[in-house]
Amino acid sequence: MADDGNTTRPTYMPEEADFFRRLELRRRRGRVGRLFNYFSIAVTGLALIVLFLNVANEAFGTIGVVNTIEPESLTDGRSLAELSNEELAAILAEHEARRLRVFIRDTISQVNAEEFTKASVAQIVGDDDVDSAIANELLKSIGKEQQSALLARYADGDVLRRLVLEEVVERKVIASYTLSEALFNFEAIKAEIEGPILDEYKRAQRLDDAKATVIRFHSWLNGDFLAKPMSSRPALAGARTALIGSIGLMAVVALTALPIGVGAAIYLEEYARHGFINRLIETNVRNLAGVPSIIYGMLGLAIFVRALAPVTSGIIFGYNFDAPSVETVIERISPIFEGEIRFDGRAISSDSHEIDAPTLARVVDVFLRFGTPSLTMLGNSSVIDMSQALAEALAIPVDVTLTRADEARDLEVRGKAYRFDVAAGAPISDDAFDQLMASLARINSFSPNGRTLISAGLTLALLILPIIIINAQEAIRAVPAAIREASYGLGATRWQTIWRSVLPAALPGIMTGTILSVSRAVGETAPLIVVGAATFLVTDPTSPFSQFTALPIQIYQWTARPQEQFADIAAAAIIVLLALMLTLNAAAIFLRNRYNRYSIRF
Amino acid sequence: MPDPPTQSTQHLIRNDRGPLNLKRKFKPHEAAIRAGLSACALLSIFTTLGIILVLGNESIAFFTRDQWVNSNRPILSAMDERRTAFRVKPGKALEAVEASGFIRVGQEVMEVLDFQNNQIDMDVVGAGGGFKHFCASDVDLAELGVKRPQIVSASRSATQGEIERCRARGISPIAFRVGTDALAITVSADNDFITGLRFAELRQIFGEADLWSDLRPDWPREPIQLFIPGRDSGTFDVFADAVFAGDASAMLARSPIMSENYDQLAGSIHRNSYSIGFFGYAYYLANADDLHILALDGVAPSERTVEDGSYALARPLFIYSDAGIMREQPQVKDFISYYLAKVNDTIGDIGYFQASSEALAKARNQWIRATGAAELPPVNPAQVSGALIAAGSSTMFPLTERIGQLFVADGYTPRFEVRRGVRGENTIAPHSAGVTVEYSDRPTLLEFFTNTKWIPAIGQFGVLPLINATLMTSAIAMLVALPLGIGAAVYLSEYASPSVRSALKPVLEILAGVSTVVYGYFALTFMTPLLRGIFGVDVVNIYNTGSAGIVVGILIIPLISSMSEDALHAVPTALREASYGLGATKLETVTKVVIPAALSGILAAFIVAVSRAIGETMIVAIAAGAGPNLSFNPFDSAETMTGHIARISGGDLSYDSIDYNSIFAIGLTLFLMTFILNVLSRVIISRFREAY
Repeated sequence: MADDGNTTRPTYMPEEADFFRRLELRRRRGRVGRLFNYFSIAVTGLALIVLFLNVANEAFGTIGVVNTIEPESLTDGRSLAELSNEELAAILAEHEARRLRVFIRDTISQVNAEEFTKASVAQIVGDDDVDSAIANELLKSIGKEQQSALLARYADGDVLRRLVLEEVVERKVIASYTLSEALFNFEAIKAEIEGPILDEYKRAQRLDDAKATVIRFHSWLNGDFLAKPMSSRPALAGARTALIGSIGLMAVVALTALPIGVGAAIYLEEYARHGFINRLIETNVRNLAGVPSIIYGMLGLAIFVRALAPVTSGIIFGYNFDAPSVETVIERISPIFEGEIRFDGRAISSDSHEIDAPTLARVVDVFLRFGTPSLTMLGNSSVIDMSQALAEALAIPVDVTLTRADEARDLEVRGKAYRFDVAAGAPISDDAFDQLMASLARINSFSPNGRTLISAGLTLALLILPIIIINAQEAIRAVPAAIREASYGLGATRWQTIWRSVLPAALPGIMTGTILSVSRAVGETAPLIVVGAATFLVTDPTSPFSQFTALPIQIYQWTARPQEQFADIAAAAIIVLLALMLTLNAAAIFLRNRYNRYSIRF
Repeated sequence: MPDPPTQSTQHLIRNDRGPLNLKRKFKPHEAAIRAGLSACALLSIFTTLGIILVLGNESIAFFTRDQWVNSNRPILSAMDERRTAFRVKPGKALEAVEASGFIRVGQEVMEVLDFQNNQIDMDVVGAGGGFKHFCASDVDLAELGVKRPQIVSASRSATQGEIERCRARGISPIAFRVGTDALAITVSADNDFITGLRFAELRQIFGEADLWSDLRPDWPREPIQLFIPGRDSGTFDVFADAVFAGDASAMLARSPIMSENYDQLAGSIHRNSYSIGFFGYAYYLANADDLHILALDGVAPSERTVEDGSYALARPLFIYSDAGIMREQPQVKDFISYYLAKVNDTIGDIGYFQASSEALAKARNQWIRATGAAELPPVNPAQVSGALIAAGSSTMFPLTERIGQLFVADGYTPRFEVRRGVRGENTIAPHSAGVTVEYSDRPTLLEFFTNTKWIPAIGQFGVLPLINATLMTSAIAMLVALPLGIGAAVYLSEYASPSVRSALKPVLEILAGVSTVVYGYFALTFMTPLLRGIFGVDVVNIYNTGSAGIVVGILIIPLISSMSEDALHAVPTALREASYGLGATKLETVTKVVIPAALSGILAAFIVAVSRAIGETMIVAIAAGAGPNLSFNPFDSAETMTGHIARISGGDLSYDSIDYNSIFAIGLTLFLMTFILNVLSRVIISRFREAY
């Protein structure tokens, strides 16, 4: 201090005018700084608003629709509403004869899609009074007239009219505009749809008389969108399969992650001594929470999808095992060999010089046990393994040609055709037979694999486990020691204390954390992609061992497509996903508030 | 209140089973519960171990197993026997075939029995350098890192000293005269004052004289600039011998510009009107438009003047080899024989002059004497096998190169012989010509981290483009998120009233809770069109790292702001009050007191945010583009590590394929990066936290 006094500094404090000038400057800087902070928070809020507006902008808008065939030309000038069922069915039979069976399956069939091809007509329509001549026939063996008669008799008039509109009239959306364009620029849009876009469409489709029948406001998010399965035509595509898949995932995640996560939290908080192991686990849990989600996807791919495939594909529980009939096996394998293979109900015989009857019988036996390889399979990579197993066992060269049709990024057309070229065959030896069996057992059948709902669910469960543990630990830690001491004081064991006193008190916190984590899991996309969610699936998942797709996957797929209308339905799917997540969050908040009000307060 | 029934009181104090045992009893179900709970807790350890094992295992597989890579080179010969020899064109496939020992055609794996790397390796080191390598000891060669040339090409005879050095190693160079070159004295085409020289004037120009006017008074008073070949070259030696009688010190004293790159010399002379230089006639021909050639004593170089010796600066062209080398490595004798047979047909195209027929005949005799054969047999290059290494004069290089090309065109290509039907004896099927060879390529760690291309199908495994794109998007994200995130945190912690704060925090939580695929959609349908609107459609690609980075930034703003806000909130009010008490404004308090006090927390938030940005997948998968691309332009499309993993595994990933293994190697890199960042943030929090 004395030194400071000695230094000669003429004026330590500025002059009064100078002081106020500087003060003003500092205040101005302060205002600028405050402005920046306001700006930051405003940008953040704005981002959220723009995000939602952008989605809404795409999900609603104006579309232009044209008919491929004018309805009047089908009905001699009458409107569709006036037609009877028979007439409608006749129109369908005339224009879409080959798809009548599909219509029957989708509208009036009373049996499962899997059994549809094997069911008799009486079973399909669920009515024993059906024309006795065809009652016990398979649907594919009866004539078109009889099929259309079935449609006319059992289907609803409105359903038939919708089929006529969708399949024959083929209303096609040729242009779509976003909400903002529709609101501010409707006249220009109308002119554009009726002008250049329609001309272009007519030129491309070689139509002369199509005209834009409807230009109207359209919400891509509607009842149909929620109720329909996936389709390659955006106007017909729906999110039902994906929604059910997401809900299924949620169930698997909640059922597995909640008990394990809470168990781990209880152990860490109530049992573990504060030693090395405990510290290791805690550090580890926190590190796991920071691991990128795609890494979990790769873990799931290696562990659940591949290593545990027999479990996650449901094979060992008897699921997904499509036990084939001898006929289907022969139908499938006969293209491999030259010559005809026959089955007369008791014995298999062949006039192929490549394979003798006993060998053939054993091959068929193998396929009966392990499922049938189809010669053209959709997206199944074990076919190469299968063909090689066959080649090794039969001592025949098998050339697997692999063709991929993914032009124009049409993801659903991802068929791989596998051709089995057999140059020379030899009788199958015992060794070879064992080898074949072993190979087939190793690749555990052909069609099912571990890319199922349960694999994905378990992967997501691992992903959110650290978050659940951390949340649950905090909730348990917040329970006052007095409660435990009171319980111990009454002579309760440690587990009784936890189960009867600590957990009920911590439950609201645990549930809130769990629900928020599940909501995060529902939005996760990357792990699902890696684990192998199906990108195009029209059948709903029926068990944990079904193939599945999920809302985020559909959004990703649709977003990745070039056609604009897919961006619109992606926006609609986003609204569904956000609604699902917001519902979960609201549930969490509701739970928190409710239990805070009524349960024990400290 | 009535008394409680006495029976129940009795029950409490009655003790039928003897004294109360207060010792701890072993209770099986409690132990089982405890074990179950600890198993739950240990699961997290197993998860980490599982991640490390899975990623590590598949990454090891990636680096060690056979990765069958398409060579993109059709087999030239049909294959229908168990043992087949066939040829491929040089390239990376060749090295891999040599190293791996196995190739695959179709599904069939074949063992490489014999490998002949038939390639001609030509080194330009000057004639002197060529002889130095030719006669160097093995130790010196190893130090230099070169192979001993089998053939030395020279534009002069070997000197006595060189021959003696070679003799000391037991090598006796045999000269084969292949042609004659003339040194061209050239000036720039723009030079208009000089058309010819007297031979005696060369000594002045390249020696004593400084200015052109020193030679002839009517020439300009400008300094003479010299561009000449380097001292190792035969051209230099020849010129020095002819003009300076071997002592070139006068020329070197002028500090001329020397280069072995003759095209560069020619260019320099062309650009400089007052320069002069010399080199082989062939290089003059190649640059004849830019240069003037000077006649010496009125004689310009031509076939006739060179042959009869009237052009003073003609020099012989030789290739040298050794009898021992020619015997031990028959491909050398075959190549020289081929050389002698073809040289007269090609030498004119290069721009040199044919050697006299006597000189060529002498060279043939040399060959016959060296090999002991009766005559020069016609050589079929297709039957020659073994590598050829030539070194020496740059003057000779174009000639040797041309003859080498002819040699290759006649069938001297790398070839290997395979045994079929290994690894699956039964799969042999006839392969027709045109089937591509797949070779086993094992990427090395070094290649993985240094190669700048990622194209697994052709064996390019460089993770750099993917890492680069990841760092690009993360850096852009941090540029957006760091200021805004900290700004928002400061606002919430210092400025906002409690009610505003409780209203705004959920907004941030919602922003953090929205699925990232929605952000991806936002980036593609909003941010990209916005950027394209601002910077132009031509500048900004539809898929670009900039738009993806900005949106990743928006995604991590809530993360940074909530973590930073916690840190700011933990700073005691007393510090702020002390600051206010000293007269500081709010901004000064925040920037000089509160933020420094909370710096460790903010730094940790920053690191966690970087880790999150690196690991973010869907936004970059949708908006940053598909296809690895090493680009630093934020408007270019480039695929990040996560985007690549998502794209590759999105389709039907067939297991045990190169793609399958490669995504795990990338995943391991990604995991290590984020793991290190996460550990770092925890260390920062625990070590540098200011405790109040």
